[in-house]
Amino acid sequence: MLHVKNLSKTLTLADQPLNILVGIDLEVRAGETLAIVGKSGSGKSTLLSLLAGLDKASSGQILVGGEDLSLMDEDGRAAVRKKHVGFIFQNFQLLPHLSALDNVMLPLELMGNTKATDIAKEWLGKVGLQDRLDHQPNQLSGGEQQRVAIARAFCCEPDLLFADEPTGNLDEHTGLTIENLLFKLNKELGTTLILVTHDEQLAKKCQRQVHLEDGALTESSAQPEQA
Amino acid sequence: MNGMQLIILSFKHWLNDLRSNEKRLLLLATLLAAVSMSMISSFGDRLSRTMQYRASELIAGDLTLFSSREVNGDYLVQANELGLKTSSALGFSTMAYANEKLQLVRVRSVDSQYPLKGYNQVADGFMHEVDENGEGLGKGLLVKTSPAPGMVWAEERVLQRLGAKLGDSVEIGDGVFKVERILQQDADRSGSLFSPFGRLLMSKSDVPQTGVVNQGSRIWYKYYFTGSEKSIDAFTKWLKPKLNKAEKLGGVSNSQNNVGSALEKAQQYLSLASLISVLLAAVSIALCAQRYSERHFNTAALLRCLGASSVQVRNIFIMKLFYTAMMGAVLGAIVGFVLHFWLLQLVADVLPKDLMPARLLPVIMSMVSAAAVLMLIALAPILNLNKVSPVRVLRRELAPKSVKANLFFVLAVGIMVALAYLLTDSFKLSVVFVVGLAILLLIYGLLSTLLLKGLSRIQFMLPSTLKMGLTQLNRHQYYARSQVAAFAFIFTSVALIWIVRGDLFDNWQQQVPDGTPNHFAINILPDKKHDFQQTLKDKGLPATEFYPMVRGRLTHVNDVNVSEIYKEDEGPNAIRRELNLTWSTAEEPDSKLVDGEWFTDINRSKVIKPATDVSGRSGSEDLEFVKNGISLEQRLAKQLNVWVGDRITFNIAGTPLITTIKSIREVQWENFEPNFYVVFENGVINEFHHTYINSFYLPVTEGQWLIQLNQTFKAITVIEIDQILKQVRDILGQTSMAVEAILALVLVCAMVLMFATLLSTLSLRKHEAALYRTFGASESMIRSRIRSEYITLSLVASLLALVSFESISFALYYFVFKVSWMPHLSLWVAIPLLALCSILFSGYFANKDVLKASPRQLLQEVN
Repeated sequence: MLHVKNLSKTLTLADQPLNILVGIDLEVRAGETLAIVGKSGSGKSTLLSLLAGLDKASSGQILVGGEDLSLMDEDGRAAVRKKHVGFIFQNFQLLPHLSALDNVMLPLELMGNTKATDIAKEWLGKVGLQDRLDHQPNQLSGGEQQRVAIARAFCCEPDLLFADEPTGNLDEHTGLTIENLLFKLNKELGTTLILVTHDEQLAKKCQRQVHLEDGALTESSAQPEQA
Repeated sequence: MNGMQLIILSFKHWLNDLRSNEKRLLLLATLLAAVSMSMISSFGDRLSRTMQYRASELIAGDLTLFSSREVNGDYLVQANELGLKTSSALGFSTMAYANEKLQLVRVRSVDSQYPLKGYNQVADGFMHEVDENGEGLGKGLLVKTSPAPGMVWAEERVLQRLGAKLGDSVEIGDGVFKVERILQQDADRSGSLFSPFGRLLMSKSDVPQTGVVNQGSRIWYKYYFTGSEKSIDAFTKWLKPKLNKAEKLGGVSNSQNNVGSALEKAQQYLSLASLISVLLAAVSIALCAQRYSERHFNTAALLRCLGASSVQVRNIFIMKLFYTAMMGAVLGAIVGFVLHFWLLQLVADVLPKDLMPARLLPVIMSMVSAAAVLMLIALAPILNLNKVSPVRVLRRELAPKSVKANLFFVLAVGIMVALAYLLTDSFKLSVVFVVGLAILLLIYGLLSTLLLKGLSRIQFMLPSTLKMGLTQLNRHQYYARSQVAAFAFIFTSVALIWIVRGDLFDNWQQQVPDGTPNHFAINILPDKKHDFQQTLKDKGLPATEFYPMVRGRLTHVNDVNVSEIYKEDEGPNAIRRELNLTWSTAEEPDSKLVDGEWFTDINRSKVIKPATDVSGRSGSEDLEFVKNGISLEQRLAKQLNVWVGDRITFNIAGTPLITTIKSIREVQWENFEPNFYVVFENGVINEFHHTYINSFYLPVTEGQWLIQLNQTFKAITVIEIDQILKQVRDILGQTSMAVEAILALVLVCAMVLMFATLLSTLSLRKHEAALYRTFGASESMIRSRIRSEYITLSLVASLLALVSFESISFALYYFVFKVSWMPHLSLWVAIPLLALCSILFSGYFANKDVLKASPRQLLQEVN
């Protein structure tokens, strides 16, 4: 599903180059769950943004569903995201002026899906928010907002789902609920899940874990826990 | 996503967006701009179409000839030979008397052919009267006739002031006439529409019996011609070379200059006032659009993240802007159209009665213009959203590179000039106005910086509220400067419009010293002068000078005809009309001489006798030379570019006179005494037909004596200055109501701008409040800090406004109106109060969320 070859990202700050990522190679099979673990400032978000096509690498190749992101401009990468990718963010990233239903419908509408309302309602039901369709984000708790975000991510049935610290803003109990929901839905759909976290416990729930340190990626040999 | 899906998606998002303050302000600003433009455009459109369409009807003919003397009979013979119909009128000002009351009126006496074109609009009763069936008697009737001998038609205001009604008798000079009809609109609408004098129409054949018109009287003649276009053209071509300086042709093409010039000026003035409201709305739009854009960076990033292309993101936001533009522009244009009827009502008395009907074109133009203002001004910030990187969903600190703001600033200025031109129809005025405003705002920006810096230096001397407020303002200097400048500009405008409305006029009136003459007597014939003088003396009135007046025309300067020096309508007014020439018997001048010397002796060349036959007189050998010369008024000398020793030629009743300038005088025109541009030495022009003018002071309680004076000297016209001033003030008051309507709109726009300005710093405020609250500050402390900032802002802005205002008013009073200036102490209280109330009120609504939200909510929102 995802092939990364010799990926590097360098930033220039005050005329000095800063190597964020160096020579990253990664293969993720379809349906696999992968955790990218690292300390703060290790480059996890940068790696995530490159893999998702949100940003352009300095060098290297990224193939998503067979499409080479490194050869595309921003609109090209956007089209790949629309087709293949879903997102879940640490701070939920719901649009404050839209209701829960409208937030979930958003990616479906961007795809031109004429059944957006029905699909969104169905997915909100799957995450247990069938009674909160018209509520805006400021009327929902953190956990509920993340559930809306999960519904939004899954409703388009993406091939590849990126989750950036999905429980980072939640308390332990709520976080656990969200984790369980995420892995359950992922299993049902067979989506390839790439999860960025600094939480080792959460990382162990994925089939594979890779560690990012000093811009380089190393594979962990730990076995996944049952989600 | 196809086009229709994009439209629906963006519409849905737009509806949700309307909950945000920025969107509401954008909508309100657009609506106000549309209201302003639609109201003024509809108003102006009806006026200008009326002037254009009914031009010939408005001047009661296809061609008119105006003269201060009776014209050569050949003119009328030629007109008849060309198949033109002719009509004539004789006009003068005199006193009308009825029910022991006097009223100065402008009389137009007409022949039975009048009006050749158009209609007189009359009524058979006052506006408030009804007949037995309940029908209004004041309803206008259009008639093609004029008063029969023995009858007069008078304006309602004339009759009201005389306490007369239809059927009553009114005396004009020695004549007694019956009031047959109420005159609502004379067929000939030319002349000042804002005249304080009431009008009266009578038959020309009745003029001799009044006895008020004599040689030397100030009268005018008007001739009307109508016929085929070919005949009119032929007649005009024949006539033009024959006209002398006292005669002026008027036609359909320049009738607008006569009839509409006052309206055109008023319309331009209203348009400029309206443009200020559009300008304020435009600045509000710019501020709100900037804030809206900043608050939607995350939305744009998320849309890109979810797969929307940059074109889709751009189109979604542009569509949302478009919906706002449409809603604001359409609603605003409709409201403005409705309001224009109210505006017309405010100035109904000074407008033509039968205006062209309203039409949709100005409404549609205003709609389009207002929508364009929003779209073009808000475009730059909105286009920024197109450049938001999707990485922002992970890294909030990433902001897009701004679209070139300078280009859009130039575009915005261009839009304002285009709008100004649309409203005023004058490119020069538009550019001057917009550029002038921009410079003024820059000056305010500079002054506000200096003021804030200066106050910071003396902060230790200030009360704690102001200290805290200044600290807050200095934290965000850029915003503080902009806000102070904007508010100072608004309050200066409010104060200036307040004094123009009435204070200036009242102030001028109050400064007239006690005992200053408040009556002028004119048309005093030489044989009546002694008796009139004696009457005043018997009454115990202080003796004042009687000044002779001879009508004459200035024709040459240093032997060059003035028509060769100045193009038509250029040059001083004194060359385009007859002057009142006088002579002096005084050995010393009554005005200060700035150059030359007064008449040293009466050893004049000879007494000039009027020519008995002026036909064929030309050439210097016919010119009479006045040895001792004239004394010329200073301002006229400057305008003519002449000095002591230069020659001026006059034509007095057909007799050319060449004179030299012996002295130049400074005249105090505001002293309420008869003043003259030209003074001859005694005896030089005494033989010409002349009347006398005199001014005297009469207490207001002596109205009865004044009536008796008029009854005794019926040919003499006594002008009551107080009454005229009152009537001028009434007219000023009426027209100023229209200005105040615009001012109300300007103030609403100013409030919107205030709100937008405060909103532009809301993010900063929220951030600060979040941190303060997290660190333990109470809600009341936050409230106190915000309040102190706004109080300081109000006081600083109003201080700057008051200093600017008093400087401008000083310049106006001292240099323009030449009256003493005094500070406007009431405004020094009113303006700060207005500033405090409006800024605190706006601030409360702008900061509601900051004060009510919990620290957690604020932090979440900020993060």
